Amino acid sequence: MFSKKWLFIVFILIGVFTAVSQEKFEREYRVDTDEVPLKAKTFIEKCRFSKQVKWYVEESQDGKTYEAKSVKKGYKFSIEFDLQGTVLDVEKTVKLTEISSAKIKKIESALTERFRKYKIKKIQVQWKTDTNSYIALINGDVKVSTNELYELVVKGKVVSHFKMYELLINPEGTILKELEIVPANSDNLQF
Amino acid sequence: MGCVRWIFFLVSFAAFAQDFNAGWLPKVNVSTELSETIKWVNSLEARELVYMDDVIFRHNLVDIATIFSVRTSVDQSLNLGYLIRFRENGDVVHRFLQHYNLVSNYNALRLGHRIGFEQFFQNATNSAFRTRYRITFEKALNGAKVDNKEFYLKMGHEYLWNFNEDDLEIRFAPFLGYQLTKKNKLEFGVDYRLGNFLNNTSEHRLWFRTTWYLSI
Repeated sequence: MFSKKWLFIVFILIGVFTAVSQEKFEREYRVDTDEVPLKAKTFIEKCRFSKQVKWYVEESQDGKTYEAKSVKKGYKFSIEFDLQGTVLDVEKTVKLTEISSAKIKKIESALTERFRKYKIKKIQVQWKTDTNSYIALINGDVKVSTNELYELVVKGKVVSHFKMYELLINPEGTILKELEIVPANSDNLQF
Repeated sequence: MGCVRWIFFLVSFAAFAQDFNAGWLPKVNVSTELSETIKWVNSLEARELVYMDDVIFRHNLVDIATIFSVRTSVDQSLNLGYLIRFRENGDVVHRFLQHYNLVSNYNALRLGHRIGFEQFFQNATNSAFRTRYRITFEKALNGAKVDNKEFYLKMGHEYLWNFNEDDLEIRFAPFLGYQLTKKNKLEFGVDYRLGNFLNNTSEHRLWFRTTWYLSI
């Protein structure tokens, strides 16, 4: 008797909270290669990734994009496309030591100015260029000259508590974009 | 039909395991942020026995817990709490708990570690003490992270050491979860517990779990 009553209350509450809860819409999900624009697929074929290419769709209030993720020569690549299959940007995950010391100094100087304490958790080089240059860069052609930006995930303390941030910094050490990363609710991993 | 299969499975399992109990553990976990670093978590959990020597349907106990969770870092927290257990025979057990949690994010995986100490107090018997360590994996079933209206898998593995009995309990708990919203998750799964692991009188407990995690 107790169980039935309890179950009834649970389902009623689920319905209520599902109806009233409204959050920022943001979703990323896997898609098959067949669902990807032909232009994007052709681009990826030219990149000759050694590992499997995983395709995702990212949907939010800002729109919908396609994203291809793969690995080449030990580096993780993320290539974002618009709905027509045109490349929007390419990101390559690198180690801090792989960036020139002059650029690191400028990045660290920007971070020291922004945070009381910080630790760089992840760094990605971001390119925005033309199709041929993208392919050359992904294939490791160091002669290609293009503007690059750095997307960093930083654990930083501005005032009293450490928080996670995503920062976009240019080679001159100017922070172009800053976003606080709100950690996903982890109640189900704790209690 | 599903229910018949479930009972058949329980009876078959019980034939191999001499000391075997099974049942249902429904739980509601409600948390609310009190400040930037402190969260207050309350939970209500019942235990409904379905099998104990024979197929039965009996309400066994209710646990009510209140926990203050203090975030000590971006990915770590100290949880201090109190749990009161009301058994069907009228016994009441008081439990104090101190848990330390670390939750790490990887590319498409979340990993939670929990180490804890617990003290049990009951009127009629002596106090009991135990320590526990749990590792939990969470993996989105679609995409790199769990989004709203998506399913995920959760796998928990835990070791509990009872200082009074000098014995070990091992738990294995696979779950299927569904995220309704970022603050509203449902999980379904089993929680298999192997007790008295070292004393050669193993106890087998198989609980079907349904848990609702809600943040308000």
